[in-house]
Amino acid sequence: MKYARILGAVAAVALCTGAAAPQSSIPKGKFVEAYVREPMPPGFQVIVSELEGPIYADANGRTLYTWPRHELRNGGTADMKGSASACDDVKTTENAGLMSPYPAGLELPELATRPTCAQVWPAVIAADGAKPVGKFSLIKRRDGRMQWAYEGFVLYTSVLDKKPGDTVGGSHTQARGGDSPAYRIPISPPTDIPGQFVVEQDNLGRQLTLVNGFTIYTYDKDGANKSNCTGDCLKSWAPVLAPEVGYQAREDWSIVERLPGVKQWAFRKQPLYTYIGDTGPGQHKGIDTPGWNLVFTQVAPPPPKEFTEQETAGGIVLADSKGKSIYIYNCGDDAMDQLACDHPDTPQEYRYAVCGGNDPKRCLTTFPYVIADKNAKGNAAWTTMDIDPATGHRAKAGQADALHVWAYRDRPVFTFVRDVQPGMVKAQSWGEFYGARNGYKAFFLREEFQGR
Amino acid sequence: MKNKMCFLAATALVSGVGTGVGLILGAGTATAAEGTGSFLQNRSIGYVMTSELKAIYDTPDGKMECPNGINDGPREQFKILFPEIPGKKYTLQETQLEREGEIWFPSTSPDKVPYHESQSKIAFGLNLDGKIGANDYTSPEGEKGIDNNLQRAWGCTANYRSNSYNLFAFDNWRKYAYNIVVLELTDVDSLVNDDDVTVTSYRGLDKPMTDATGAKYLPGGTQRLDMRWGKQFISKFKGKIKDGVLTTEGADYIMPSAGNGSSFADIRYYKTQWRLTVMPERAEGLMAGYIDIQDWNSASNQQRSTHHQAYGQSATPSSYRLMMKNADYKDPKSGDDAISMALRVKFTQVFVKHPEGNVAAIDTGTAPNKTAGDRD
Repeated sequence: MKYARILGAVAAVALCTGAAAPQSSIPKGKFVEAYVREPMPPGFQVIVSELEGPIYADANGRTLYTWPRHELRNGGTADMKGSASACDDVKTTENAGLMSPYPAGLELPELATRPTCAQVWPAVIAADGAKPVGKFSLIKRRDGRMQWAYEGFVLYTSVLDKKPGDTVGGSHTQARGGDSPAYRIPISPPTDIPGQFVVEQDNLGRQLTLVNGFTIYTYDKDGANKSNCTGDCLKSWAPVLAPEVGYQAREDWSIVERLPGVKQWAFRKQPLYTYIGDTGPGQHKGIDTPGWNLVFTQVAPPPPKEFTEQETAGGIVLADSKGKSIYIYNCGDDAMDQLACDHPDTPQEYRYAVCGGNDPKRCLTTFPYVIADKNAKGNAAWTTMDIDPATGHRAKAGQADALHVWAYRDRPVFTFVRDVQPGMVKAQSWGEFYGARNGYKAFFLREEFQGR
Repeated sequence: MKNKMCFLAATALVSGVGTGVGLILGAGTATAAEGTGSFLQNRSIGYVMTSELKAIYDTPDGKMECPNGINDGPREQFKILFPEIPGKKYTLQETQLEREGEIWFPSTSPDKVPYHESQSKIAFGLNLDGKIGANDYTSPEGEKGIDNNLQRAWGCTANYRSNSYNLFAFDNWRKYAYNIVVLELTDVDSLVNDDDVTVTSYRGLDKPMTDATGAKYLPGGTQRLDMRWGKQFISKFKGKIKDGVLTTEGADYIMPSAGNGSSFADIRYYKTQWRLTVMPERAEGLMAGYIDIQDWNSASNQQRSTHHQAYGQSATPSSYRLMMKNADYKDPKSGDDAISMALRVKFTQVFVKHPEGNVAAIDTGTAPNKTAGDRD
């Protein structure tokens, strides 16, 4: 099982336990994604997040988010481009009925303590006399104050972000529409890559692909800026050709001249290829050929050391030390402000409905938390936290029955009781709208069929 | 007469494979072509599934099998359970979340709203237990002893009746890469009469070949077999062909089942039997067995949100109750409940490409392998 190794990384360390542990799917390496420098308002900055790559932040290092308009089943919500913020300082009390088949007008959970949208997503207010700069503009709020906007969408910070570079409030990986809530997305400067390429973020990191979605690869036997894929190799691997003229010099990028007039792109000095066996976007069949690797501008922080990888009927999934598949929980409420309900600081009633038929105790056995060692150390993505098993919220300091659990992006992860042996993912897409709205998704490291 | 109406509706769902309905299911009446054409190679032939529909018997107005009418779905049930009352304010928790809780964790307690069983005495399917019991059905062709209690549980649910929108969706899912079902018949001397053949199921790795419109499936394509991710879908069935109709003995089978939203929730079918009219270019007929009820409930909800279920007035907690009430099999290994049922299936011929080092008859331990090494 050879999956992804990052450029220049040493051989990956298998996470699976056992004598014949297969090679890990988890790429390794410490690289930082290059980005295009854009003019910014005074005090704004770019922070390279380990999870999200380069992101914009305010003067205090707080990540900046937009909340782009999102069309749902029965209508849309969130901010229109160029318009004033739809995130008001007024408490929302009822659902909006945006998600069929349930009607609007139902009283929302934990109403007494429900914050306003503006309390959860503070607006980025411009100082008096601020002037637009580059893609950053100013939009007048309903309260008369001026709010910073990027590419026409007003900006917010998140109360969930506690330190510079945090992106607990939202992720690029959530910006994949469908029946998901109207998510807040961290804003980023453009990645500094040639126009033939894009960066797609997934659970492994920020992967470089062609604009048409085809996967690109590097080859272990190539030298620095030298391709050794010739002859029969070229029957399976197609060099990614660079333009003969007109390209601009970029950090991390170079050109390899295969033959006079035949130029190939190289990233971090490694020539780039596509695989002839990939017949559509998102396929990555080439990684099963020894010596060939996916390409990342940055890799995600690795999961806990005791976690394993398991092959399922749909690909490779992250699993706990016993081989039980790991699930993340997604939730956004059906109110106009689309507040999150997937975090231990948010209402747990939604989760209780789908993890235990509204029985919190049943949830503990059906979708148990993944217990962490008390001395376990985390990273920017994987952390530990203490959970009150009776409420699902954070435990009080010193609480005797608190559960010390693993969390991803500051949200607990779970296993599923019916996954009775490694390789089972019976809770994939479990919950409202296939787990996108109020439910669970398996933590896939390799999705072989993209669900189809 | 009634039989034909039901079948015509289903047959129309997949274009280009029109054939006499009686021919499809009527064992002993088939007129399949002699199996000596180019498609039978090395005494084997492969087929890829192109259509899969729950075989529910119904009539156009439903009055015969559903005298109480067609069952209400999620929207209608919600309105009954939570009627608009002036001054009354419902919470999300006591309404939507309560309903979603029931959807994901159904019970066998009495239903809060009426949900009716089909009263039909006719059902598609096979005699799975070899007996003719009091609750058994008669097939449209007159065969006694048909085991299909799913007919009883689902027969009055719009979702599974002829012309349901969702039938189109279910059928379309067969095109998903995750869901490619391949059957390979080995040890075949003739597609007309052979008293000992082996049928092996696999997941295929290739999109079934179609004409330029994409709507009509064509024979002669190739299917590579998924021997890495798809091991659980490999089952072996011992069978025979008589007058062009393949019948198999029962074996447990897991069908790959991906649906909406990157879901894949595979379903276990116990004691699965096939009855297929096999022809050089295609095969059609029934897959019958006992469907795992918990697997079905999970898969149904994982693949179709409550919103989508509402299209077909399918209230899964109510369906679950009727399925459990009519369950007629318990898996001896897991103890899980299952209910007899049948699928109408269609296949197109393909050439099966085994990975290097593999032969057709991979011994999964589920049936004798009389021909290992008998192939090239």
